[in-house]
Amino acid sequence: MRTLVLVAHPNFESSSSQNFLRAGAQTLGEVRYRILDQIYPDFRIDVNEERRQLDWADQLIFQFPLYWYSAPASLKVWQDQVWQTADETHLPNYAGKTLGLVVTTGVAKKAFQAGGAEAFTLSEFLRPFEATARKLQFTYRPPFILDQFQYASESQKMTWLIQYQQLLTMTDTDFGAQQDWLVQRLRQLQVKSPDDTLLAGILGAIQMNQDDLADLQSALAMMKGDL
Amino acid sequence: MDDRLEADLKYRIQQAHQYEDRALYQAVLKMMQEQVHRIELAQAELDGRSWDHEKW
Repeated sequence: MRTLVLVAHPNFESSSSQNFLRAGAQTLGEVRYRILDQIYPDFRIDVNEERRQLDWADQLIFQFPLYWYSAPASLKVWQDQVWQTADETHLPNYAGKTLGLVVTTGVAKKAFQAGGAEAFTLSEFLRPFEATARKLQFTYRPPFILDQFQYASESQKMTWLIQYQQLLTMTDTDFGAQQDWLVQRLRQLQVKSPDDTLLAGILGAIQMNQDDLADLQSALAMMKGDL
Repeated sequence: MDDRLEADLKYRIQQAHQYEDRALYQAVLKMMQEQVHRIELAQAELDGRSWDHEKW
């Protein structure tokens, strides 16, 4: 899957969360990273180039810190200019492509709920992106939220890293797809270290668990009369 | 899951040279724990469905 990440951040280089995410994406194939505020510091968007980039991608990711319940200005300017120019009468159709959001917030996730400090959910605040995706025929993914990155534990950051890599490289997020993704990554490590007995042990145990679960599910299906 | 395997994985999470590898091992450990949880649920469901209240 080809993923285009458009980052909107007025001060990208000083952002620890953005640099963490960029480092996590560097080892992935078929991921392009474009930092809008660096490419267009004057906000004069090269519409043709942006559309070429978009044509290349199967998945578009808007990545930004939440500013006043929305994205920083560069992403709004990008959308205002790239989706439709003043002399175009038809909207583009991006059926078959996916739109995802990666949003960092300084406020804890739990504040974004009815009765919480921010009163509304992040799904509500991010509704204009969802509506735009719908209008342009994108498939819209659940937003990926990193809240209070600066306070996150090492374990939480490592969890985010893998979830982010999965977001950029896979469309299905069910448990089976996640298993396959992790097994593939372990096999890549195994190519580099063929004598690593622990890796072989882990891969064998994962396979054994998969087989056990498949047997149990098959027995259950028979019992329910599904087979 | 196997205690030895779990201990070895936890060691890798602490000691692997690359940060990305440590993150991968942590995700693998969580995934394997979830596998075990799903196996336990399926076994429990199988037991529950096999139980015959008339032969109790």
